[in-house]
Amino acid sequence: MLDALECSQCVLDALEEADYRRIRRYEGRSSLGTFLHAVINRLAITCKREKYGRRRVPETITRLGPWAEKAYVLICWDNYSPDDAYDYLTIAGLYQETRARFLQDCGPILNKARSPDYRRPVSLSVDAPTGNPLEGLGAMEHDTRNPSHILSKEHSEHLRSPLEQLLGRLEAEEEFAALGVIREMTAGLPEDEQLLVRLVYGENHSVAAAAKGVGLKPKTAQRRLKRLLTRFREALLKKGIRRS
Amino acid sequence: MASSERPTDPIDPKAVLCAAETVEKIDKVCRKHFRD
Repeated sequence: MLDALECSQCVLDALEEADYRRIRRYEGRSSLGTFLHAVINRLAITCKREKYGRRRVPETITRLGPWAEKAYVLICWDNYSPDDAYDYLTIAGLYQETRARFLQDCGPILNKARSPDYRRPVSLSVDAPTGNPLEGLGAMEHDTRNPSHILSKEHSEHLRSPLEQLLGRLEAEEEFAALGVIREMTAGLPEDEQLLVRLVYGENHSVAAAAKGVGLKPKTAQRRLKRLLTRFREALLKKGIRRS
Repeated sequence: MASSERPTDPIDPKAVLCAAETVEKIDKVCRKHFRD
């Protein structure tokens, strides 16, 4: 909120400048309120640009492709952590490589995010769990006694869903425990979210198709899946299950 | 008379800037730009 306060002060200063020259320009062509709104809005935009620069994706990032453009927006503008940006991009189908590769490919984007010209992203990392308790118990449709049928390591990494990739990095024993945790969590979700998880992660439907099936907008479904993945990761960390 | 020719009362810019309505407008617009 400090930014908004700074901006208010910046606008007030600009309006006072040169004996209120900007306000004196009012000629009665519109209502005073409309005129002031337009002036204030322009000044606020100028103030924001002076502080952060124009919100354009740098050409060096654009050249890397649509995934990089989106990753840049998510990390530099929307304060996503690289991990969350990865989940978002894989769910959206914009990036198909591994998480490790993503972090490597993201080098130029992360450098931009670290630059003093940009706001530092607030990390949404799951390394600091927010205290979400594990939710209710129940049964997911998958058989956790044999997780390999849905988590076949023969699948190439890029064909796997983010959830499968998350689990795929665990040792067999941990993978088994992790599935139990996810099964419990999923059973405690509202019905539409259970169905969403089953369709996207269990049956490999596209997010768009699953969203239609559940009666959600694709973007809403994406958001929910991203949130769920974060919660899954948090729950796994709480159980001491970490990516190897 | 065209609206551009409409005569206007001279405004007191200081009073305009100090008006609660203007201060509120500034606050609202700035919050909108920095709400993230």
